[in-house]
Amino acid sequence: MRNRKLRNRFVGAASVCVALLATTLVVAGPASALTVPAYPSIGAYPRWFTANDSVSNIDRAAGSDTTFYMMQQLSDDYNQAGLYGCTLVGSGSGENAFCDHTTGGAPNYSDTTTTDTADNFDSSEELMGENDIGSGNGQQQLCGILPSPQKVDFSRSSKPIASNAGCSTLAEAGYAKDSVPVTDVQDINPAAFGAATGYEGKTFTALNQTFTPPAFPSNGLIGPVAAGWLPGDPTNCVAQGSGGSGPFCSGTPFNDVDGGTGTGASSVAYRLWCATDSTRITDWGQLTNLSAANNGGTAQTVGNGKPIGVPIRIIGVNKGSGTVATFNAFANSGVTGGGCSASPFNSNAASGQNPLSNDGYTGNLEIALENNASQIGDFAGANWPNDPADQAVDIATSLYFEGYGYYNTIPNAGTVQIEPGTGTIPTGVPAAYVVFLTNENGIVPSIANERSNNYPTARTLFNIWNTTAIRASAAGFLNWICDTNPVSGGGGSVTKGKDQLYGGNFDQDITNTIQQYGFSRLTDTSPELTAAKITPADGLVTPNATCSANLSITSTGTATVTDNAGTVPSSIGVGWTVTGDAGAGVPSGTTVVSVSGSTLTLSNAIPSSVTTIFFPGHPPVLSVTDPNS
Amino acid sequence: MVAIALPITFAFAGMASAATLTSSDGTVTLTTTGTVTAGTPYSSGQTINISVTANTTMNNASLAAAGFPSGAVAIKALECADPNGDLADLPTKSTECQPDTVLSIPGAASDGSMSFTDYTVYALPDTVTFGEPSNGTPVCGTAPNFCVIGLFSNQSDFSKPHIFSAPFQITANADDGGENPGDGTPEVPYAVGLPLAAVAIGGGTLFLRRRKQRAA
Repeated sequence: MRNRKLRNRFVGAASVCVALLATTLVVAGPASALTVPAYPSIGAYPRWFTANDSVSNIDRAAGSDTTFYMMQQLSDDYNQAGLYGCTLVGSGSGENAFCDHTTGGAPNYSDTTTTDTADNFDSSEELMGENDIGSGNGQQQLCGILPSPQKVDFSRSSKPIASNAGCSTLAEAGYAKDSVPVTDVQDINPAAFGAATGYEGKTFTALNQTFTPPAFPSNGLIGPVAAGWLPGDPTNCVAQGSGGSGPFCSGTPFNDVDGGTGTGASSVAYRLWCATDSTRITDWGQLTNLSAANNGGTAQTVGNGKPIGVPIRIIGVNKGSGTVATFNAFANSGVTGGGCSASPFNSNAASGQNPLSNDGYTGNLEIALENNASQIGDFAGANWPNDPADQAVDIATSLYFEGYGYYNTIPNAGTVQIEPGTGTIPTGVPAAYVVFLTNENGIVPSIANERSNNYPTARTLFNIWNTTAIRASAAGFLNWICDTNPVSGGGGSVTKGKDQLYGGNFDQDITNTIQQYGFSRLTDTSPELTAAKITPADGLVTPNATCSANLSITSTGTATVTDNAGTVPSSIGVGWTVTGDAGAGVPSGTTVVSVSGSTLTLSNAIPSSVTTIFFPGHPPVLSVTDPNS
Repeated sequence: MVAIALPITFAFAGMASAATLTSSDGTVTLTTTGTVTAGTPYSSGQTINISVTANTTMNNASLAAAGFPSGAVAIKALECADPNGDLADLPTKSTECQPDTVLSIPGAASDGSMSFTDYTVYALPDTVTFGEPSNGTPVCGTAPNFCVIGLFSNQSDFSKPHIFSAPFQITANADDGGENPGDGTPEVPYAVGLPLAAVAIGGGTLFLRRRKQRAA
């Protein structure tokens, strides 16, 4: 706070210098006029600056690991904007605790020419908590059914509001897109490290398995099984169709995983991650050894090939993670009560040297944090210390899944390394490998397929708040993330200010920060998809338009609709544009005509099938429960 | 020189398959898929293939020297702006590329060669697919706002190895459906092309007549 005062003095001194400069530079051209901006509206949507002018309110978030780093940076941007917030009360009662809304006169009071009234005027301080990390945990802490050492003002989440969050009063704002591809490792040649003596000659069977696979090759030498290596192939083979120079592996590379609500217990995803009965896929040959020649004259589909004796290693992932929730929804394939239908998931997670024994979640020390494939190498190193050859087999046989954004932007998140210890990696053999992202249901992972929800595990990244306990400062921050600058013919409601540190506009900063982590930004102008596309193949509702203000409504097919939550928030203004899901039948150009009690009157009739209406260009937190903090 | 250059730069619209654009150093080649109209820009939503020959920028030694363990790093393809379509204006910072256009592969071959299949190109800023505002950046489409494909070991850090394709042009459409696919080159306006063609034909005729006269 003392720094604030110093800064203000500095600004004052700088103003004198500027004035002198302006005098001396007048011959060079007109100087831009410096003006003190008007004192902004307080206690009001959408910025929700505190109604009592209090400053430095601290908002604490909990939950998602996936969004942690991105939200940290967005918080930094917002906090940084607060450096140029209001001028504080300088003495007496309320010193440094409130904006000086008294000294001087309207419309500026004691603010200065550098006061930023569009961003963090009341200098809220956003803190990204890390207690009991994971989207589900954050939602439960927000609802108060999971203990938290500190109050949670909003939760970060990489999954929508969960049915087990613990309260029915949560609301969500989806501000970015991501997806969760399966990964394998296709370019490792384990035989190049020597014989895997821990594996050689052993037979790997799982509980309830009804077939007896052949033993692991007796010489301990295998090639890249995920690329389609089969016994007899050169161990330096490459996947067919990969574009690499041969020799090519004779098997089918594992490039695609099928699953999702329409596929059921026979899906490959379900049989790999969820099935604990005889249908479980445990051997790489079942995925890649599909030719008629190798299967008694009849070519097989993925999941039904002839075993080759090389076990599949399923990497377990943190049960509280939204990434896990998303992927397990896909893997569970719509099976009621299926093995991936509920936390702690991970029923087939490998543990220790034998990936098919002692597997599952309980007591498993090999449960990875989400979104970081490098842990595969750590687990392999722990299973086989000082033994690169067996570590290489662990890596070559592992299946994991992770967020597309992290994979594309954080090199370590996609790289697995051998940890040789006192062992030796032969000269010329790489110690590090990049995991391969598979398709899901034939769809290539891409941001376009995330935004369209075509990719089965496309997901929306949310901030979630409790409508019965939302402070003005937190609401302002959440709306700031969602709101985008007005542009000709559309855009958001408030033009953000200049980032004084880097020189750009804060709205571009938000976009850049989200993209820096490989995500794609959603704003209060993002349109909703069609009802059919809002839910991708994993069965989780994955909306695109919740960064805009929206209401759950009942329509009778007329121009009058009813807010299902009761009284329509007074923030909603006459003239606001109204939309619905794409193709839902809300006429283009529909606007709010009037608001009364729980009723909204629109300029056009909307179909009775419409259950949610959106107000594009207006961010989502329409009301707060504590306007003074 | 002009006689040699004309057939290359003088592409009248016509149907073609597997049209290519190759970077000036011969390393990166963009190849269209399906039938396209020669001499016309790519169409937003059109897919192309990207192939890279062996090179010393993205080979294993270079990537390892850049700090990637054993040279292992996913390679990302992104669409970037190349104002004026010249080497001097190639991107120098991440904000000149559009992160939403990323497509990745698990790495380059040890000699730096690599390939991407079915890379989708977009006129930028793109509202239809990526929801960008109409004043978004970077801007790439038609001249002088040329586009390039950047292939990056770390698209956020331009000090790490990366290479660029040849510049190309791309036209926007209503749905990013890739309608009327082209070969990424500008269509030569007939107002300019026809007189040039007339000069070339006339010159050729004159040359043949004089040779015939000399022979006689």
